[in-house]
Amino acid sequence: MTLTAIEDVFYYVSDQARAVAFYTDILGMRVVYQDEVWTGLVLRDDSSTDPVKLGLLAIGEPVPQHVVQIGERKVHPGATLSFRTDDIDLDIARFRELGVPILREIERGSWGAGALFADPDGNWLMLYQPPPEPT
Amino acid sequence: MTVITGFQDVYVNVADMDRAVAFYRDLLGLPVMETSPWWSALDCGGIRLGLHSTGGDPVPPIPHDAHGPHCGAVITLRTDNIDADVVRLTEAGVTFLAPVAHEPWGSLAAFTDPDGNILKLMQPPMESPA
Repeated sequence: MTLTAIEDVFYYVSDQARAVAFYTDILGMRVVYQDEVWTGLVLRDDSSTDPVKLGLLAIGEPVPQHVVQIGERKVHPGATLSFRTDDIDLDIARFRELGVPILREIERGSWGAGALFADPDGNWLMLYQPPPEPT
Repeated sequence: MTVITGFQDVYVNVADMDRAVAFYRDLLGLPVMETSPWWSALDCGGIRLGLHSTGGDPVPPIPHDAHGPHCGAVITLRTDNIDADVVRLTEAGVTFLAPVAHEPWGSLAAFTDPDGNILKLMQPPMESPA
């Protein structure tokens, strides 16, 4: 098999400037490439030679919102990107102050803690905090 | 200041965990990092590709066209030989949405996993000779 990596993970956005502001100012990413329709971002402190890129593909119109039901849970079809944090409570409180939609409040389990939020186009994103390391 | 420290994973929903793990492990060749009936993760070049169980409910159809899905995150997997991969995966019964498209920024083909999740294969353009 010749798969070598994830080239990128991308979301559709309507307004490129608005989306880039969200991912840089609020999520703390940095732009590594940009043209008229595509922006590539990496995590701000990622210094690896081949970092995983988040792509934003501007389509110039509202991003369709598809929400479906699986069992008792509403989900959107398609993949979901999860960010890792070391303080989910702080981040979600900050997101709320900034007006970021919180789609699912923090849930906790043996697996850690997770919450669901959305970017300005309504794309779903996860925030995840791993459980504490056993001491 | 944010405390985001990294990408945790990018995940898709699957109805049958064993079937999904077999697909991503055996056909795509990704090493399994962890597996359980409700969550599995495979190592895709240093980032986790997660499989999240629906508990058996079918994954709803994903709006799409021949270029790929219309919503959600879109996972693009890098390969160094897209033509060989498409032949091999097609022989293994994998559905491609369209023939390989050759673009200035690379060659691309979209395909589906057993649950209808749509992934893309991409081969970057060859480096120009120095």
